[in-house]
Formats: sequence, C-alpha cells, structure tokens
Amino acid sequence: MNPPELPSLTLPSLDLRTARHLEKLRRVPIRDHAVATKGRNAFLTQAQSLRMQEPSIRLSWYEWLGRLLKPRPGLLLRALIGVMIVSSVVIAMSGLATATQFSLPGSPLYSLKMVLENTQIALATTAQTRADLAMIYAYRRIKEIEALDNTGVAAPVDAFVRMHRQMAYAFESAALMSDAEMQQTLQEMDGQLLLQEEIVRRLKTPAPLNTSEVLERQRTWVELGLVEPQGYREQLQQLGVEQLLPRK
Amino acid sequence: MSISPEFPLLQQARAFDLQTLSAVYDRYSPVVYRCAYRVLNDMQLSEDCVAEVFGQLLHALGSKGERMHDMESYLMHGALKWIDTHLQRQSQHELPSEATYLPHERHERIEAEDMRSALQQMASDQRAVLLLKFLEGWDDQQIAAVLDVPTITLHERYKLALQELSSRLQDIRPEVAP
Repeated sequence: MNPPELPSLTLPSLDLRTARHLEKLRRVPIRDHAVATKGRNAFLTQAQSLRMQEPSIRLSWYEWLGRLLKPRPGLLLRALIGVMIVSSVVIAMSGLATATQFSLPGSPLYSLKMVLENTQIALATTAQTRADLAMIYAYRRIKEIEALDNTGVAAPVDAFVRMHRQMAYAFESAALMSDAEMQQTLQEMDGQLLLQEEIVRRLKTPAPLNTSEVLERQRTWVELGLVEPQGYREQLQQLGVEQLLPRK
Repeated sequence: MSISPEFPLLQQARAFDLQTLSAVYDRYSPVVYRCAYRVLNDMQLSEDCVAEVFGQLLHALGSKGERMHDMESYLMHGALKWIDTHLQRQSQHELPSEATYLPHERHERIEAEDMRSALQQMASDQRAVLLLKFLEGWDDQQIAAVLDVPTITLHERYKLALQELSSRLQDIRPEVAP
C-alpha cells in the first residue's frame, strides 16, 4: 500500500536525479501477511491485558468506594463465609482463654495462662493498670493454691513464688503513682495480703516455710508506704524489689 | 488549541476499546511499517519497529494519554526515534553488494540502495522531513506536530533536506555525465 502520487516531487529545488531516487524508495514490498497478523494479535493481547489493569490505576477513592459497594453475584455468600470464619476463630480463642483461666499449676494450659497474663501486664500503659492487673493475678495464684489444696495436692513452690512476684510488681507500680493514688493502691494490697495470709493459714497441705515471713514483710512495706510515701519510694528504689520476694 | 478530528477515536482508545484499537492498528501500522522499511530495507526490523511503537502507544494511552492529541503524529514520532536509535547502534552502513542483484533490476536497485544509504547517513530531522513530506505526502501541520517545530520553519527545512540528500547521493555514487 503506497501513498498517491506526490505533488511535492515537483518542487523546483528538487533536481531530477534526487527525484528519481526518491521515487524508487516510494515502492515498498507487500507486508508479510502472517507476520503482520501476528504483530496485530500481539498488540491487541497487550491492549487487553492493559485494559484489565488500567482502571484500577485510574480509580479515585470514591470510584473505589462505588466498586466496593456495587452488588456482585456471590458477594453475599463470600461475606457470610468470611464472617463465619472470623467468628469461629474469635469463639475458639475466647474459649481457649476461658479454659486457661481455670487451669491449675501442672496442667497443660497453665503455661499459656502465664503467657497471656504476662502479655497483658506488658501491654498495660499506666502504673495503675499494671498494679491492678498484678493484684488480680496474685489473687488468682492464691486461689489456685487453695484449689489444689482442696483436692489434697500441695501447690508447688513456684505457685507461691509467682504470687509474691505479682505482689512485688504491684508494689513497684504503686511507687510510680502520686501519693494519693499510691496510698489507695497500697490499702487494696493490704487487704489482698490479709486474704493470702488467711488462706495460707487454712491450707491442709504444707506451704513453703518462708511464705508467712514474706507476706509479713510485704505488709510492713504497705505500712511504710501509707505513712511515708516518699520514704517508701526511696527505699524501694535503693533496696530493690528483691526485698519483697522470698530470700534465697 | 483546536480539537483534533481524531479526538473521539483517541477517547475510545484511551478506554482501551479493542475495536477502536484494532482500527487504529489497521490504519496506522502500514504507515509506520513503510517509514521503517524505506530507511532500513528489512521486513523483520520494520515489523519490530511497528511492534515497539504500538506498544509505546498503549502505555502512553494509559499513563500520559492526556497530553496526546494525535495518535498518528505520536506513532510517527516514535517510529522516527526508533529508526534513529537503530541506526546509531549499527556500527557501519554498508552498501549491499551489487552481485546480489539480477541484471534486469540492477540499475533500479542500486538507485534505491543509494537513496537508502543517503537517508541513513543524514541527520535525524532531515531524514524525517524527507520521509514525511516527499515520501508519505504529509501536510505541513502534521509534520510540524511530529517534529515539534513551528510550521513557518518547514519550507526552509525541506530545502535544506533536499540539498543534503543531493549532496550525499553525489558522494555515494557521483553521477556520470551522459
């Protein structure tokens, strides 16, 4: 397919020889049909693949929203399946968390319970929350010890140590609060320590020998904090939380 | 700026309408092919040029389509650029051996090859002028769009390109006086 005869070839500045040469180049052999068709198909395939990609690049946020809300066949079913899967996972997780709450030292879920508790304390953002959580977990420990004792099993020493550690953590957190908040927290801790002493006294199975001594020491620290808040902070910082734990 | 008569076609091409793109390919690919073949004298290379230039068109329609007003000019600009790049890559442009020609076509082929050789050696914009004005018969406005120059400067460019071609032809094979 060649263009029609060109009037430009008659330009005055075009000498005969150049015009003759130009004319020779005007003739182009017929394009190979197979190759040309192949090229055309490749072009259209490329166009099709770009057509599938292109709208996603150009969409603005409201077009995206429109697409998202556009009713599509099977979308409801897919959404339902998704909701069911998420619900199953949530139910399974909450069931597991509940199951761990009632687990006792020595049971397979007990380590998971410890991990969950430690994670919750680590994620607490204020000293008050940390102290509250530490007291809750200390209460759980003494109730676990009591539960084991009721079945005639002596609680392992670790259970007592964990209880003391939780209380020590509450003492440490209280030191970071204002005087009023600290005194309020220490009073709650005093009540907790009294309960621990009471339960330990009632145990039929023997508790570690130093348990009463540690509880006594912790109550002395509560008294110090209630009378001299600043002295409590300074001494705790100076001596460390080891003062609140069983001596080795 | 006036709206190009090609505007509706361009709009449909931007939407990647396959029917429109088929029409665009059928209308313009022969022009690109001819242009490449006249300089390169190679059917496969000319097809490569067509494929490359039309591939660029698709990407341009998607990414910078807003700035494109005329697909034909865009394609021809791409083709000329592709040809320039190809010629730059070639280490040397040799005249084909005369022995490969059949006796009855010898003279004609030699003239065509001389012309092609001269075209290949010319500056890029002068080659473009010759291809578009004297071989494709484009009007000044189209050529100005492809070369991105004012229309008013074109007449001088035509003259210079022809003078350059004439001079190169003389260098390649000096005309023997009858």
